Amino acid sequence: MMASVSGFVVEYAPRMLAGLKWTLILWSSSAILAICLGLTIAFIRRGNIPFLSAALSALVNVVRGTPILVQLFLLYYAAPSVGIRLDALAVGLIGLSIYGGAYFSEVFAGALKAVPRGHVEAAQMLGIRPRRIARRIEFPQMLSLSVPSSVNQLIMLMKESAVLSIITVPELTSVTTKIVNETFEVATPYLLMAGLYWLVIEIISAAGRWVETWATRHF
Amino acid sequence: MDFSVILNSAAPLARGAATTIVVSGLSIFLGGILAMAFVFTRQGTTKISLMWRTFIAVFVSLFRGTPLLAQLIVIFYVLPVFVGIEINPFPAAILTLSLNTAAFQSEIYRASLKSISYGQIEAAQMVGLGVWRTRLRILLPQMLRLSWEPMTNEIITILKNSSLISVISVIELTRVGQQIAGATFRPSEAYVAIAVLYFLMTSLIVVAGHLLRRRIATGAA
Repeated sequence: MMASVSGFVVEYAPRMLAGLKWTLILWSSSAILAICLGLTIAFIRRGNIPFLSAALSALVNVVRGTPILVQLFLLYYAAPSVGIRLDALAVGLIGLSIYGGAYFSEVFAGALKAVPRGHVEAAQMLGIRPRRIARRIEFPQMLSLSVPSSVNQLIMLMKESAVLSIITVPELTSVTTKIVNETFEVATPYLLMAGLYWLVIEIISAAGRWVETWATRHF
Repeated sequence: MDFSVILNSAAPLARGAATTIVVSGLSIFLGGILAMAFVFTRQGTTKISLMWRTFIAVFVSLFRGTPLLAQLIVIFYVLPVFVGIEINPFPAAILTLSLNTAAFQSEIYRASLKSISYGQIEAAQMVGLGVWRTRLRILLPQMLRLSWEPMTNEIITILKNSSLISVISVIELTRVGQQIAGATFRPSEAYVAIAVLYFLMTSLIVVAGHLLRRRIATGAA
């Protein structure tokens, strides 16, 4: 058993690591896009722009209220019939970004509300212009307040990225399934895969705890 | 778009939605019992209870720290290799979702147990209630009441994640959508239809959560 396991690891590790590489690329790029999207939505919603704010709220609820698998199917299988043709990787990136963006917008909206009202009022009293208040008073505090939930969302995004295997994105889960189908070896590859995910997520949450203490050092 | 194909498939869609609800509900319930058992048996200072506590910590970390899809694959494909018996898709799906939600629910209940003051346990002991009677009659109702908000989120998460069991060919809502898309060559209508149904179900859970909160707030629950 042990010999076959180590033999397996030596033979298939490069392919599994290539899959892990795609998982990490998709995760990090969709995380960046999701955070930008979430910030934009949070600020637009708070701005109370007629129609736009309400429409965005409704959209966020729809994205949060349906499974990511169904959203990926819509992007991958249904979008071509309205003329949008995307390959699996693009669907994966866009799907994860939109899904994550909806959740991040809630995180940032919550953090924005938690910024003490008195700080904004004090800044207004000093005659600082609204844009500058948003940029220099609200934004930095909101960012540090949102760190714990943001780390949770990043972990969620990493776990959801496994779903991309269903629409044939060559990430860790789909590479492992391919190896299983080729070798008829089931236990070793899948347990190795689960172990890799566990390791990556443990690293993300450890890094998150470090960032959290760093970001809240002024509180 | 032509939604008449969807109206023709109303019956399988309803069956799929019913399966989704049953699987999610059963998993939330079974996972909840397991989570409560974990939360109530974590105490103790003997060597065995220390080992038990370590086991729970590893269990929770494993199920919270890996994708549900990976858990589903491991339980459906890998577990039979070690145990030596085939497991059907449906029980495998329930088992995976239950264990997954048990890990998340045990964290929820642990937090709510912490916020109940210890004086209540002492008072219960004083009036002669046994350990389990205290847990079931004094602590459990309060824990359920305190955790309505994270539990609403957890139920929504499980309902949405139950779409993944289509991968091991359980005929739930997503699988029905795939079947309709394949049979009618109309993926847009099929996937929009199941998205709408999922959204209806999760919205209902949100509304139920708010009604529950109001009842709790007025002290009626």
